[in-house]
Amino acid sequence: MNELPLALVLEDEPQIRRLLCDALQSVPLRCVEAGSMAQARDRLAEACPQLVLLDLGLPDGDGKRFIGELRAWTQLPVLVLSARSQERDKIEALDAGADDYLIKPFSKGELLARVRALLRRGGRDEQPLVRFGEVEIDFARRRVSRLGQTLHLTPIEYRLLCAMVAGQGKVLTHRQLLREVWGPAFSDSAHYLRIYVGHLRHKLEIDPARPRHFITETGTGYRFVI
Amino acid sequence: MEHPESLLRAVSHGWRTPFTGYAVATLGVGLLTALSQPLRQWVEPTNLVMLYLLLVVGVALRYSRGPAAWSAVLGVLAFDYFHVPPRLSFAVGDVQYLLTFAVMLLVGLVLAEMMARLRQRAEEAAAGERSTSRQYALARELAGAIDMSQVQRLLAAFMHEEVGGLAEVWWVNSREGLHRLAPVAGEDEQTVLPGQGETLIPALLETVLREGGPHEQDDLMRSTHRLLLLPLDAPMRRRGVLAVSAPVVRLGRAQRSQLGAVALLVAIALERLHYVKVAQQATLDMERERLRSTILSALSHDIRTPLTIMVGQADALLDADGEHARTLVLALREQTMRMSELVNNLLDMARLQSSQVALRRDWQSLEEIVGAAIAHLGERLARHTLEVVLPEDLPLVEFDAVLIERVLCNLLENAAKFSPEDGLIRIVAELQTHAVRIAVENSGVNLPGNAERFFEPFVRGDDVATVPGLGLGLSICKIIVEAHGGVLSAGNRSEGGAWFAFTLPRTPPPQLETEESVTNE
Repeated sequence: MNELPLALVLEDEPQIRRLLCDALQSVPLRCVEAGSMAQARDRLAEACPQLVLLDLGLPDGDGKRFIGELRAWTQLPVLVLSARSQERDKIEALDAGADDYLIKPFSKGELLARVRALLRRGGRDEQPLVRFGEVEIDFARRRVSRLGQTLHLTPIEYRLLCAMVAGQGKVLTHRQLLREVWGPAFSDSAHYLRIYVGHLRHKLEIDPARPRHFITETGTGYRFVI
Repeated sequence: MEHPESLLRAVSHGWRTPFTGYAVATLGVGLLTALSQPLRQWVEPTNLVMLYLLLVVGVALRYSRGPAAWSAVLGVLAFDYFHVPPRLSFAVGDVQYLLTFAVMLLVGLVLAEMMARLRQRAEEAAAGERSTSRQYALARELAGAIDMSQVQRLLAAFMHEEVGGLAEVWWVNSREGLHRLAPVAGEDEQTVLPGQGETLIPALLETVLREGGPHEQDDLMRSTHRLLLLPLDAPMRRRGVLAVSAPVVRLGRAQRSQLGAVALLVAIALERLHYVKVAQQATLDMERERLRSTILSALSHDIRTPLTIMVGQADALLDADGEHARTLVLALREQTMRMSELVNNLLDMARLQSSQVALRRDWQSLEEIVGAAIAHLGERLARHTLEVVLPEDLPLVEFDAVLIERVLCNLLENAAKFSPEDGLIRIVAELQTHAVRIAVENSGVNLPGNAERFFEPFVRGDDVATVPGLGLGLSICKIIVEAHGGVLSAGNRSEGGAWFAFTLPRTPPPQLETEESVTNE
């Protein structure tokens, strides 16, 4: 059992910690539990987890602070579980460095899917060739093709595509994408993003109105899934 | 009685009027003298005096008393020089002419004075009439004002026109503090009071407010201006202070008494607006109270019922095993999810009702939000055929994405609940001149009765009582759509089934900086 990878579960409600650990066994993951940020810091000093799951409302402060601390030294995937459904909370947590966000109550299936996606991210190196749906991206040759036909993407469309593929599985906030693709001056011009994600969907999705790869996280950002 | 109009003319055209008047008077006398030369054979010189007096009347009517007096004096001199023998000399042959001169001069001067006064009266009356009609206009506009800033705007315009000054209203708000009425945007620098001495002015305002008498002093910021503080006494109570800064030359007695009348008008307008607000708040409170009791009664039913079922199912689970246990667990899960949805709805409702809905508007793609709503519902739409019809040239529309996705989800979920399995659900967007209309249609049965009543909280069709869900969804949709300035409507499809649609106002989307179309090869 000791070889199983570890997940740090930071949640002040013992019943929910119990539930999470039970669910994570099927990944399979072993759990290290913490009920407060102080405890979590101790656990991190002892063990070396592959993943952090945390609640934002903690007895010793806001979980966003903990995410910030983590991001100062590690890129370890962080999944936020919170009962706060306001978009502002989500965006703040994601901008602080969280990779994904689940709102309580969530189902076990949803939780496991997100956890697996984050673990996959961590284990993979940059690949020169990415395939999804009918599309193939050859990063080395800067070539995008659909059903074998080369597609014409504008430089911005290509940069956006690269940014989204690089962050696959994660929620990328509007601000993060705008800064990366257009530059910091555009971080409040989300309409550019809407237009260009629309372009990518029309060029790369089978049904642009019901996208399967360029997923909208309403009010927060986008998520690219393969 | 001084009046702004005559004063204004005296100030700004001071150099011109006397000059023209004197010139005309001189010219008139010269002309009259020249014309009267041929008449000398037939007319006695003393009768020519009448013509000169007539000229004085004319000049007095047209110009002020100065030129008229000048024409009287000049007339006497010309009469003496040209008409009284010996002619072309100021010497007087007959002593009786001295009497003629004296009377002529006296009558001329009296005429000049009287005529000038008459003219001034007429001018004052006309100006008074203009300012009275402006005051009536102000009264009428104040009576129609619907908010405080409008009062300030009307007042500022009136003061500017009437006394060439600035005015502002300091009113006592509910927390009993004196506040300046928000000035019109862009006019911030045009305030009457700042810089008048930081501590002096609040103290003055307080004094006027407490004692109720007007206060007047030199304007510390503008040396040619006077500062007037007038209490705003409304019928019920003192509402604040009117501060006016106006040029001294335009503040006559008439203006001061007019300012008093204006202060009363403003006070009444403020009081009216205050009570309108109180009345609106009362209606709102009643509305809220009514909603609260509806929610409470509906909650006790809609929450206790599923909770009872859940307790029962959990109890049954204790004794069950095998397939039966699995069925129970699934049912329990289903009930729990429903409860969760109900709680979400209630939380949303509370949030939307608690205050003005704070919209996070941004330029959004409808295609994207429709896609997100469909993805959000996932399995719940799996049994239906879904058709999305969006126009090719759908522009970005400004709305709160999260809330509009909520509307779409609620409408889609209703459509799924109330149409048969394998039924058709269509999402149709349509561009109108000033709006985008998004409709969710479903096949199946028609809506019973008046569709609009479904938008009230906790109303459901009578024969759908078996379908789960609190009647909150549509009222949430209605609040959201209306907060966006749109309209939610519903109706029946001719081929059976219902449609629910909402509009979102269209405004020109922002310009994008274009990107040269370059391939990535």
